[in-house]
Amino acid sequence: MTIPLIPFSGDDKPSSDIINTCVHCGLCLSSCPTYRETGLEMSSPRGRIYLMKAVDEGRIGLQSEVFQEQMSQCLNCRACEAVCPSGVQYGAILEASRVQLEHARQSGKIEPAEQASALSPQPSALPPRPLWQRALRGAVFGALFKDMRLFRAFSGSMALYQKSGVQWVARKSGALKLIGMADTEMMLPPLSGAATVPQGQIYPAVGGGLVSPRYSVAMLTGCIMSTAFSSVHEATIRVLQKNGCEVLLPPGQGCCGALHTHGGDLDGGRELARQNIAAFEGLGVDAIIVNAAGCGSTMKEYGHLLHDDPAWRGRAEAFVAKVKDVHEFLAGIELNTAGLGRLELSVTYQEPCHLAHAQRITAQPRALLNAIPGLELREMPESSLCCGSAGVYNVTQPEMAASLGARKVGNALSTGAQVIATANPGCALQLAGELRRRGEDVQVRYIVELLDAAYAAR
Amino acid sequence: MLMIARSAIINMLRPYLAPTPMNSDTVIHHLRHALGPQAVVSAPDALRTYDADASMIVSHAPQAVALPADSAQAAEVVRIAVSAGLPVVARGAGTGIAGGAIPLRGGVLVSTARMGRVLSVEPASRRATVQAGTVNADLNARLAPLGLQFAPDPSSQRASTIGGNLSTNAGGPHCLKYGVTTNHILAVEFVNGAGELVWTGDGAPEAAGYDLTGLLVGSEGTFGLVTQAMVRLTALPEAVRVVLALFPSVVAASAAVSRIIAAGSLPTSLEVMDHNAIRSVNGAYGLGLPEAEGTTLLIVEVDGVADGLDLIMAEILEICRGQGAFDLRPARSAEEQARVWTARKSVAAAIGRLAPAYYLVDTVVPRTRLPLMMEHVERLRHEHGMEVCNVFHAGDGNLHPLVLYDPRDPEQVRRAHAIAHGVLHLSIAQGGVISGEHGIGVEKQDYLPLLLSPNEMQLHAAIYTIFNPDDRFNPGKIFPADVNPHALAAARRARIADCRLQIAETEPQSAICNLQSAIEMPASIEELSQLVAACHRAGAPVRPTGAGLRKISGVLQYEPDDLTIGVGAGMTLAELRATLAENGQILPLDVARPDDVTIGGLVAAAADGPRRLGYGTLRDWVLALTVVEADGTVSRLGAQVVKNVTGYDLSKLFVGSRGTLGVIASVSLKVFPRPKASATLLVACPGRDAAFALAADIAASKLQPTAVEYIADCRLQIADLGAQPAIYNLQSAIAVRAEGHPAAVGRHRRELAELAERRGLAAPRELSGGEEDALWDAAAAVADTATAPDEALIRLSAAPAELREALAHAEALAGRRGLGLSVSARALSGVAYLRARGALADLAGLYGDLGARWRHAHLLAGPDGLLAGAPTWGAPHAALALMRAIKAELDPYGTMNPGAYVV
Repeated sequence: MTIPLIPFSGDDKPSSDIINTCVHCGLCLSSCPTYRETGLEMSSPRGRIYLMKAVDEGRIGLQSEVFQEQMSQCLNCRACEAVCPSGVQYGAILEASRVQLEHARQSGKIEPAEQASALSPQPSALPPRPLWQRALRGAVFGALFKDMRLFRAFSGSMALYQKSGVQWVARKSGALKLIGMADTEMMLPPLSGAATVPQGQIYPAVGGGLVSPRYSVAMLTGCIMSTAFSSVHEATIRVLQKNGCEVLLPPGQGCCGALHTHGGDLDGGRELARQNIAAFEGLGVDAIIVNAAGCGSTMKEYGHLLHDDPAWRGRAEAFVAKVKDVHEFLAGIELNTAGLGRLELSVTYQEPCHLAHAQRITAQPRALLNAIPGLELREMPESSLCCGSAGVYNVTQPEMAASLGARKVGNALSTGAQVIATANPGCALQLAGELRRRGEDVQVRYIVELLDAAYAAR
Repeated sequence: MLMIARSAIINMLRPYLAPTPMNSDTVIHHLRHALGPQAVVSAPDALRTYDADASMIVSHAPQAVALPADSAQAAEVVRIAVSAGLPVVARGAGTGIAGGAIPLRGGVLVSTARMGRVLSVEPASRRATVQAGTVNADLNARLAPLGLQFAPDPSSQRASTIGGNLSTNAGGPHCLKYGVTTNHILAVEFVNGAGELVWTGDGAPEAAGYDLTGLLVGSEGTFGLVTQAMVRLTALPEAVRVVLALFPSVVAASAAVSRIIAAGSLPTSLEVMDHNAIRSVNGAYGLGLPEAEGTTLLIVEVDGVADGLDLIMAEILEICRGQGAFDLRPARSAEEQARVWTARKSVAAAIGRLAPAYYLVDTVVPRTRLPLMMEHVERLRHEHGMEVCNVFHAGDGNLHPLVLYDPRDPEQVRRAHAIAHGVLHLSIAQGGVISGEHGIGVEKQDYLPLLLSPNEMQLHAAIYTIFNPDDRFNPGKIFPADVNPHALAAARRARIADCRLQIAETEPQSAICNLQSAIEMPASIEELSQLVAACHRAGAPVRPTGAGLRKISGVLQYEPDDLTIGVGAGMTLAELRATLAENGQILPLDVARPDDVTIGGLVAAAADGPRRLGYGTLRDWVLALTVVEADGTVSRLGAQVVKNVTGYDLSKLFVGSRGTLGVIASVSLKVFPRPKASATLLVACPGRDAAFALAADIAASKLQPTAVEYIADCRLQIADLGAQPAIYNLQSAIAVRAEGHPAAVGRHRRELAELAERRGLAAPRELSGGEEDALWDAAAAVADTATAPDEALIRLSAAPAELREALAHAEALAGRRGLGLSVSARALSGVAYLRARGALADLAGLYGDLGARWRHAHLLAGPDGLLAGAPTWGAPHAALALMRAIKAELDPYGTMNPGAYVV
């Protein structure tokens, strides 16, 4: 009996045109973290596009385990996009493929029972995700990230968990290992109880009210950045102020939606995109600043995300035109170098994929680091290879995430630098977790934190 | 030896050992057991991702994919495939565009993706050992901090592997100056059909025996599974200049290329991109070039020491202007240059922006035919109404028209092939070949008979059957789909046996077969062929000598503007020099008695000279040979173009084969423009160690001398020095030759003086003109194979880093026996010629003692009593059995120069 193949269907299908732009040259292979780790063709961008092509042309179906595994294993770091001579928009077809799989799984939910689908596979449905994964996805994508109040409350409870000693007990007892959460737990940042809550604050440009600001900018506070890394936000605001910027934190903004769009929940991502566009509209600012690489790349793609929504397409494009990564912005204006004090530090730079590949911002972060007197920038091997964090990847692909994290930290340590500089929360957590596991006394810092420290040292 | 014996037994028993075929599950089980479960791919959907490489011509999935981690695992995979009766196909990164990595007949696909380790880097010996799956760009990233590079830079280098590069003898934009992959591979390790690991050599230069390394390179995975390679490393240049020259047409740009080469400049790269190629990468790489129809970009790069580099570039740009260049844009910063090269190397892969697919024609013609070829391409393009994108290694004459088409439209497919066919036909008519760097694979296999005669096909097939008797490795490639190489090889065997059996009894053994005999000297290749055929029928040995071929000494094809020449094998070196001098060109080979030695003899002996450091050796310059096979059949190996991957590189087999495989009747060579300036700087040293210390300093500097020769105990007669002729006896000295632009030579003069001073050595003495010639004649005299009755000539070769020690040993041994010892040693290349003088017993003792310690001590000449009976070619080669098999296949009756070589 031949089992009918489940084809791509409905909206958000991976574009055949994009798939066919790939000429199969293979130049992406060496830039792909999962190919570097496994050496497997199907774990390379070319191999994954070939799998999508096979589904697109009806040679395999969505039920293909290899297809499902590979769509999940991809980090969506988009290093391949940055090196693709033919300009294949890999991220777009990967995310669409994930939407297809997600839809097929969801329709699987309405199928009678899990056992039944395993015994007699239904042509239009995939075996649903395990119950705990579904519950987790529902809680995380559906609630936590959509409502920042909930998110902050959750973060607060995590901070309590860390401070109360329960964390110590959980780690020591091996209970985490038992439930497969040990590695994920190691990644938890030391959380501060305080959060950056955007309530329409306006921080004036340094120089007081007498000096008119050179620029007026608004900042995305986001989800995890506003809680776990609120100190980074504070540093970012101070650095912008020192550079003649008036900084606004408009209310009503939320999570950028990166985890949703990358995970196959495009509709959830669209909802958040609309919320953010509305929050930042009509402020009359020169730029919308974002200090997390992943959020920046997602926000710059709102136009693509809402392309088929006539009511929002134009508003999205206007929004996108103003989005600037903080490094991109600072390197593009006349940087206040006079105010920078000396930092006698050796630093190596870990390029976040969503900065280097998705936004092609590679020179600016280095230029900023090199602008700090006394700071010595040491390039690490494979600096543009993903660290394995990649959003929820730590949870969904723990083995690959761990081996890439180890590879990245090994490369970073080989430089002998005292500090690893980065610009993305996922990377920062991944690096810090791996360093802690190894017991290494090397700091992980955002570039804006180093700039902030240099301004303070003056 | 045991391993070899085992393979011989297996070969004998093969017909009786028909394997019981395993089913796929069993094979996968065995592979998993051997490599671990994570190193075997068996899911059908996953296997399909391995059904094509970058060519997308045909697709065929393997039954299993194995990912060995090292050579031993790879060998185990082959043994499993052998016992299952399955083919083995190697895959690096799958970036080939001729279908070389497609498992046409299924079987086990061996991915080298997990064999990516650089096993050793030996900067002092300028070599590295790498696993086959090492990515070219990774190796170069590892080498750059050491100031070194692996020079071949195929456009795919950021993903493609060394194993893949060597299998297709890959080229690249910088191969104009640095040569193609084969010039940079010192030795190869591969798994043979019995599942054994075999090294083609140990990487020492001038090892005795046939050039198996040269044969393996470009064999497209059909000779075995390549697992490791020892590669040559080249110093990174001190300075690089890149200029983008824009021309109104691709024909004009091609004409400029031809003029630049003819004018005697040898740039690092001359790359052409037409308007379609510009369009494909202009935006993505921020080149900002005009894209109007016809607009053609010529990328010119020169490199070397900084001094004089701008002047060299200025001369080239003047030629460009003269040929109609309307805009010249320098790429000033290293970043800008890198961007230009990334863009250039991305063109073929960027075709996705213009069309869904392309058919790449990879043909090489003499450079002077480029304008003609480009006009033809234009004509075909219009005739068939198709878009063509031209991007090519113009300096090498390597055209790459990419015909853009949509594979879903059969009519477009037909037209694309019609254009390719038209280009190849004219190319062959113009002396071109059907692949310059991508290989034959599947894509070009049906074109092979256009270039090779039936006899030549048989010769290629004969070699194939030695390495691949069971069609184990990459079957169905290179030879046309309807051709069985075993049938061809059998036909060749029958051909040779036939004429011998028919006539052998009626025609008595004849003296004419000694080609040294002046009486029967053949006056043409046809006569030579008849003579060898007659010897063959008579069963008489053929002993080719230069003197015997003196009448075959004409210039066959000289293309001065193309820097190539084809001559009869009997032409002397002096005659060749004179011919080249008329056009301001040289063959940078300095050997003794140029009036006596012939080109054929030099090639057969693979003679080298001090300038191998800067120019390479005959192995690198021989483009094609005409050989007379054992039965008198005349075959042409290679073509008179500078790049060629059309079938196996059989000319490598004959270079240095000492007449034991056939008679070399004509030779086509790459030649060089005479440098604008030349100077030889002689630094007297207190001893060998000081001399080698200076040589190491030179190697570590950014200087690019063409020779660094250690000379000891050598008589140098300089006629015009001061008032009276003087004879010097150089006790111990380093002679450095600098050639090129006068400013570059000046830089060598200054910096060498500084290096010598820092070592506390006397200031270099500059020799030029007659003095310079006298010095190099003196060095060549040390290596002269004509010896006095009390002399022996020994060649000692070793890893360059070991040469000093080898010479110290040799000098100590000679001193102990009271022998005189003159030395001329390529101090940075690992080759030394030792001329020992003294009593016969002491000479024999010296050679014996040297041979006991050093693998590569060759007794090249000496008194009769010394040579008789003694092994003279150093330690036996690890792959001697393979060499014997080649000899037996090509010369089954053993009549070609018997006893003259290791085999």
